[in-house]
Amino acid sequence: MTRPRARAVAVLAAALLVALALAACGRNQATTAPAGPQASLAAFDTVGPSGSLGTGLGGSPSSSSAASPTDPPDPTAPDPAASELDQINQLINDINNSIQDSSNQGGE
Amino acid sequence: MSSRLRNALLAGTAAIALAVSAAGFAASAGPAPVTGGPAGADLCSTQASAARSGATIAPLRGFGDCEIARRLTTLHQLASIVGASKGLTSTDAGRLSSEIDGEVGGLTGLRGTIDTQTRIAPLRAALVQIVTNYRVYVLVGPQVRLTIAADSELALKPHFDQLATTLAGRIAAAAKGKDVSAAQASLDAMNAAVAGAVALATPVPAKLLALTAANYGSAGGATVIKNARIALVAARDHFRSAAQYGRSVLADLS
Repeated sequence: MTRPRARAVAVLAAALLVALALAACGRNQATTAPAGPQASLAAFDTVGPSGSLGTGLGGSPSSSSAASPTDPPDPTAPDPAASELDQINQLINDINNSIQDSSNQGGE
Repeated sequence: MSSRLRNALLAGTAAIALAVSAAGFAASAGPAPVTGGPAGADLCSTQASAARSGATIAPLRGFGDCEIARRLTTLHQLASIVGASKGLTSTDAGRLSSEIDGEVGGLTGLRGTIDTQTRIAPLRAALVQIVTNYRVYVLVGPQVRLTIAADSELALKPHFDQLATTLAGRIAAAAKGKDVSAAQASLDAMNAAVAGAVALATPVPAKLLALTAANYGSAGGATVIKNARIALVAARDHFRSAAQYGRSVLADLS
């Protein structure tokens, strides 16, 4: 075997070893992936249909359609201040019920 | 004094204490009392009639057991209300729960006394204690509900504070292009109404929680409760006005 040919064979053999090593590494990654974050999200998804549990971790269908910061404001969305006032009115109604119930206890 | 006369006097005392207490409450409370329910005085009317007509142990014991049972039912309901209340502070919730637990324990013990008492005079004295030592309906019930109302009113302030910040920001933003004096006046009125409501409600929980069955008479418990209710109604009206002023701000800016 001439010297140039021997060098070419050596280079090819080295390349083959590298390719085999990369392939083995890829297989290892494929088998260890489920133990990472994807696996924990899957566990949340088994809890309920939305899988959110109120934590925001689940794959709720609506999460993909959330408005981006660049979207224009939704003209049909309720005014937060008006919503706050609605909530306050509800709380006042509950308070009123407590006051009324306090004088409706029956005789001693 | 003969034992017969003493028994007659004790019987009269027991009947008068229960009747006067109920009548006094009915006169001061305003709305008609609940009838037939756990808190209703009518619930034990059959046992009351039997106790009045027969001077024997069994009907008196039956009357006492019935009156205690309806109070225990009411106390358990009040415990649930305290546990479920979102407006109560944790301190006040703890105090009310302790008071209710004490009442339940005391009345349960008194029922044991009534059920084992074999002499009429001490039995009648024990019946009177159902009212005088516990005051479930004239004190504990109003105390629980009015304390919840007072704490809930005070819990409204942060909501209004947040709203005031939001509205002030909108007024400032709108001031560059339009007259916002009406909106500002409404916001000022809202804040003043909230301040007035808070001033009315703030002293109420401490005054209510200072009352006990033992000091109810000497501390003027009925008057304290009546004044607490008046203050909380006025505070509620202030908060309603404040909410209306808040809506006026939004209308003025639209």
